[in-house]
Amino acid sequence: MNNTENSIMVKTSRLTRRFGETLAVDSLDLEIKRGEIFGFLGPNGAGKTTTIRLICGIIKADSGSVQFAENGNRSDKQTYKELIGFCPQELVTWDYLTCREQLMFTARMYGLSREKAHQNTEKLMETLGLQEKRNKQARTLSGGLKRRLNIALTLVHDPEVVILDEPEAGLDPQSRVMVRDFIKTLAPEKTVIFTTHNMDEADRICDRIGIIDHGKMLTCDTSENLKNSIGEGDVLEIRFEGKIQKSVLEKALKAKLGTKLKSITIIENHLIIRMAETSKNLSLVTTVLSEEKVNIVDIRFRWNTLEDVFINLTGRSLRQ
Amino acid sequence: MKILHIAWKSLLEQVRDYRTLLMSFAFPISFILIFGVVMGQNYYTYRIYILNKDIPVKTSSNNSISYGKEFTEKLKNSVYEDGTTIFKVKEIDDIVTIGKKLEKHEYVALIIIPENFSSNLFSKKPGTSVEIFGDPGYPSFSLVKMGIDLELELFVSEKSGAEPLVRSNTHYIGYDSSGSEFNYLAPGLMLMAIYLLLIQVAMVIAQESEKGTIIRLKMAGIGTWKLLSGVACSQVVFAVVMVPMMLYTAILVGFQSKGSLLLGTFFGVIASISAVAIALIVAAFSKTVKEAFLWGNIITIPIIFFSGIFFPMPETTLFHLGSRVFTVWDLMPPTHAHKAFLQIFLYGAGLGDLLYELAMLLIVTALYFCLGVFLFRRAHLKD
Repeated sequence: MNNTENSIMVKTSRLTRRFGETLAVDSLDLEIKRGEIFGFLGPNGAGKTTTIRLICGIIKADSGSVQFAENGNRSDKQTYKELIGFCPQELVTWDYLTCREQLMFTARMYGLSREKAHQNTEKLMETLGLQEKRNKQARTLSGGLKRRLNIALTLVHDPEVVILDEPEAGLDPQSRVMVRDFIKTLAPEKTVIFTTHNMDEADRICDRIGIIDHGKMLTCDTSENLKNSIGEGDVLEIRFEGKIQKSVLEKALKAKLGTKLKSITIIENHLIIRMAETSKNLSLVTTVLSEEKVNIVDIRFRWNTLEDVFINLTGRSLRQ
Repeated sequence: MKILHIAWKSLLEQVRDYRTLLMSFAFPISFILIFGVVMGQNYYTYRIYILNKDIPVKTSSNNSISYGKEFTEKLKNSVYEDGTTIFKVKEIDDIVTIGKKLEKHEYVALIIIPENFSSNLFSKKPGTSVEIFGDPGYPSFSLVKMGIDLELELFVSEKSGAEPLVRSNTHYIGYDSSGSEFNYLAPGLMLMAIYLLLIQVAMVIAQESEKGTIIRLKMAGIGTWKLLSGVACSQVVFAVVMVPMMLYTAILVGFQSKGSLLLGTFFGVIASISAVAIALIVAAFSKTVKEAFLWGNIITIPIIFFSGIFFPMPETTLFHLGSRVFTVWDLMPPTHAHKAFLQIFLYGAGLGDLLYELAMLLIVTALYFCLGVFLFRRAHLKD
């Protein structure tokens, strides 16, 4: 990357990877800024993990390239490996080594001096609440502590780019908050890239979010911009039983609400109505539903979410 | 330096996984103990029946001669070099008393001395038959038969006064006359201990792959050579511990070593590196620790047998190297290590006597190591 693009830390150009007949990543163009927290949001199998594995160099791209600000391109293996800290989704620890031993070992593998390795190890154990378990073998730790150790191992060589694959997966609530707060503290000193299918996690942590599905980047922006992009108004989410006819219902609601109605989406047994002045017009909606013999189970009123963005883009839920 | 860190890590992992380690040590030690106890006894006493039908003869001076009884006494009193009785003889009057004891191998043989044994021998008349009954499928029977044939030949020669035209004289090499079969097995069993570690190494390497920790090493720029050299270093430590441990265990149950422990350990160390090389190949085909365990066993056991540790293998010549024959079995590192161990511990050979074995062991180990690295890299560390 040239000097004018120095604020870009990671750049992918037409990155493509196939697994047999499956196109896991499809011509992905992406720019991640230095010091930002960037989240890949998408359902399982969307291509998030493959994308970050391509960025890390764990797997090779069929075509396209990955570039880092520091070293120009990925071919300078040692430099880019020192630049990146990758935390896999699985718990990747050495069962028979203690927390301290494996942090020290990993640091030494990255070529850190004994003193620096010791310093980083102690700091990370303190920050991630592993001090008490410093001499415990990984196999004896709880799932939450293993997850924290997994993250510590990613950071022990002090990388500039931290890549986390589903960091909150399998965490208990206490560990989740700790990890979330910890990730926030990494920026802006470090550039953080992480994958998640948890919209709440992405919404809370990320400066920018890229929504990915079927290996393609559907959209990429800040959480606020993404939510605003699908239209103004509040969301009324109605869970119902039985079958309804969308066209008939839409016609009836439009007749009743006029221009106040922005959109109607039906996902399984959820009716999502976006409209202006929802609280004022709620009674009108329920009247129409009653007339159309819709059997309502519950009604929720909420703001736009990233899930709505995903639904708007793909016509299906993140959980589907 | 990184190699030493990997070696230390690998050592810690193996020592802390004490159940696997215990199995790796306990298995060969128990083998040595069992073989030592069973085969380390230099001399066996065989139980035989004698049915003596011989009718004594009267000499001209009216003395009674009973060669059948004398031969029976001779068998009763025959001893090995250390004084151990060769035959425990039970004299019987009727064949019916034997029952199924020969079939059940409670007794090894039945010898029937004929009625005319004394008279024919006294009058030097040919045609006398001593009948020997036994199960030819029972290994001890062949030994007993040979022993009785020999005793009978000597007895007849002595009593008839006909000296045999040619006699054989036995000279022992390497060992004195008190050597046992166990002496020839012990070096191989010691070597077996080293090669059994192969399974554990394959499991340790496969674990890196199964657990995904290999990705961490890969991300840190650790290549196949560094990783595997580190693991090999840890195995050297095990070999240094294992060779003396096995040797002293063998000595405890009767092994008589004539060679240098240091030289034996040196060859043991190279053998352990060759074991790592084979373990790499095993790990290359294993995605999980369980697979590594299964493949490790499938590969290790035949390799141990084919290297001639338990019995000599048929010569299947591939080519000649000067005066030496290179066989199919020479393609396997344990074959050369075994030859070296035998020379060291049985005949007290020095390094100068073992240059060929050393060279071959190093060459074959290097080939296996290169193949292992290639396969492992393709399977687990390819970008």
